[in-house]
Amino acid sequence: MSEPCTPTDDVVVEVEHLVKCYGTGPVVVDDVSFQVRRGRTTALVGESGAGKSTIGAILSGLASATSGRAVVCGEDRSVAARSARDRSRRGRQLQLVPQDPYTTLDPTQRVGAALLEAAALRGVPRDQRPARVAELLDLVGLGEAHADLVPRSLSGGQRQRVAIARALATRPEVLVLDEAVSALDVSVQAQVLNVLNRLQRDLGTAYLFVTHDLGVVRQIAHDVVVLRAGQVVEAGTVDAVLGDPQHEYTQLLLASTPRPGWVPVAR
Amino acid sequence: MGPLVEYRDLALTIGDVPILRGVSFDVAAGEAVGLVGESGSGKSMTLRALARLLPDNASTTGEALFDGTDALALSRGRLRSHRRGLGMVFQDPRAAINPMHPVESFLVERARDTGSDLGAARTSAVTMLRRMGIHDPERRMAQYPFELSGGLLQRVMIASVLMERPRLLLADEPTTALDVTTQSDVLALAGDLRREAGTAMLLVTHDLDLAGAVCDRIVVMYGGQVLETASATDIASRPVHPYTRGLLASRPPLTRRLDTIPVVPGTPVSASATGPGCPFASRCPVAVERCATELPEERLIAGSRVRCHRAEEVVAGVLDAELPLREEEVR
Repeated sequence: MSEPCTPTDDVVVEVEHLVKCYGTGPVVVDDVSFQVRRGRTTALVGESGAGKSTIGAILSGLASATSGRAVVCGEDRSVAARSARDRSRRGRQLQLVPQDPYTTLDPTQRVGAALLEAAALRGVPRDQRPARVAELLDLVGLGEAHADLVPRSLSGGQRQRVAIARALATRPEVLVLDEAVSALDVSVQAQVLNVLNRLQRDLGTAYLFVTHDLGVVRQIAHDVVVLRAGQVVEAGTVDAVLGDPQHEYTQLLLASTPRPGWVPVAR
Repeated sequence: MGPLVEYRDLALTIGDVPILRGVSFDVAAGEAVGLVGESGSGKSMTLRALARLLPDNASTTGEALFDGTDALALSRGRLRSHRRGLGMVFQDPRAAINPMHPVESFLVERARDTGSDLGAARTSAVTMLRRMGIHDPERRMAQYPFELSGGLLQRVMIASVLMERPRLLLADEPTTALDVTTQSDVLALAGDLRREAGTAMLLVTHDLDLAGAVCDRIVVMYGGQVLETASATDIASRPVHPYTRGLLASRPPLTRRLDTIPVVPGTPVSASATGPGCPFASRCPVAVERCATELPEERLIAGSRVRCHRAEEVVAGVLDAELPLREEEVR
């Protein structure tokens, strides 16, 4: 079993007044607050420089916050983990899936070995690990034959599924997906989105989904936070924000998104 | 007068690997044609063949004609002047602009090379930059490429190409790396300039909706072959090829959440992985036995030039239950 958040607590990620500056440079995250609820998806949307990936990095422990709180399962992650045990617990609660799994999968390690390793880190007993690997591959729609392959023998969509399977090996409460489907071909992207939605229904994992694509947001998210230059310009349910956007920047983003019958307009 | 661009049964192999297997279509003067496909479809190589921007170990059969001249048959010396009639824009402008010189030097390069009036070239560059949505062109021209964002630099690149009023613009994913608001802006402004100059365009993109918005006609490629060619409105409203239908259906719609996005199973294949039949046969939900063994002839059906043994049945609607359908209405 995973290490659950307080069972009655519906909020698994709580970001409060989060601020991030690099040195004396500009403020990249500027007083951002939002929540991710259990078994639900919150999308962080915005253009380059909006600060969305930085927020994912702080939650994943890859960056520290300048001020404010980034609470995952009751523990504030704006401060670095103090011990290996703390880091290990944080890893079991939240996992990151980046845009390009080439950067995180060991190119020499076979898929099965990568998943075995992740199951071991999770504390799955040795004799149960092979079954766990088979289960993980099945969860993301890959067969056991894929276990013998190295990352370069897989297609982009398959590699991204392996990255998701490995992240799920720790049975995390939260997945941070940072542009995780952005580089995929559209027919493959749709498959991975369907897998993610099915996994959420089956496992109850919460997603923080970082993306610039509003069509993807509509298909995967329940709540949306629209960021521009580090600040939240609008937040709410997907129906409210995409169906009836109040802020002119959200309206501009929507108007700029290609769709059937769309015509590009100069500002 | 013949078409401005004409591909005649172009086949391309790099080393021993087949990339294109008989590509044929054309582009009329002033027309915008979108070349749409996924990874490995061969769309970029098709575009590059027209300027013979191919790897050294590439070999070709067939023709890639621009203005009646086959780029693949030219001597090196003639190739240079052939390329001058083409404007080219790629995804990454930084790969095409000399980082050691200010932007102005890049913009007046052609005038300097040909000994034309530099002052006039500079004035024309300022006008073009302004029309591409750059509000302070004089300041930008004095800057070096590293001082400009990717979006600004791509505006500079497009301005530099269109100020020569080429007869054809070759654009390979020109806005893919840009933010959506910048993309919309750049496409609208460049479209105005292009139409004013009567410049034709061959646009390579993975985005069928985007191609439909800025092109007159769409060529859908898969596995090194053209599967369907039709007007942009026909492709969007009544696509014939099952692959085109799949591409349209798998794009996540903006207006409504679906329980499951209709998908084409499997992953895109490149020309090296296809058999003698239709390249899409292994993924096609309505493939029959002959699809895997016999490449369909290109036929004109319901306004589309399409390679599909079952095109008539698709058009008649009898396969609708088995084909992915796009959920969003075209408005």
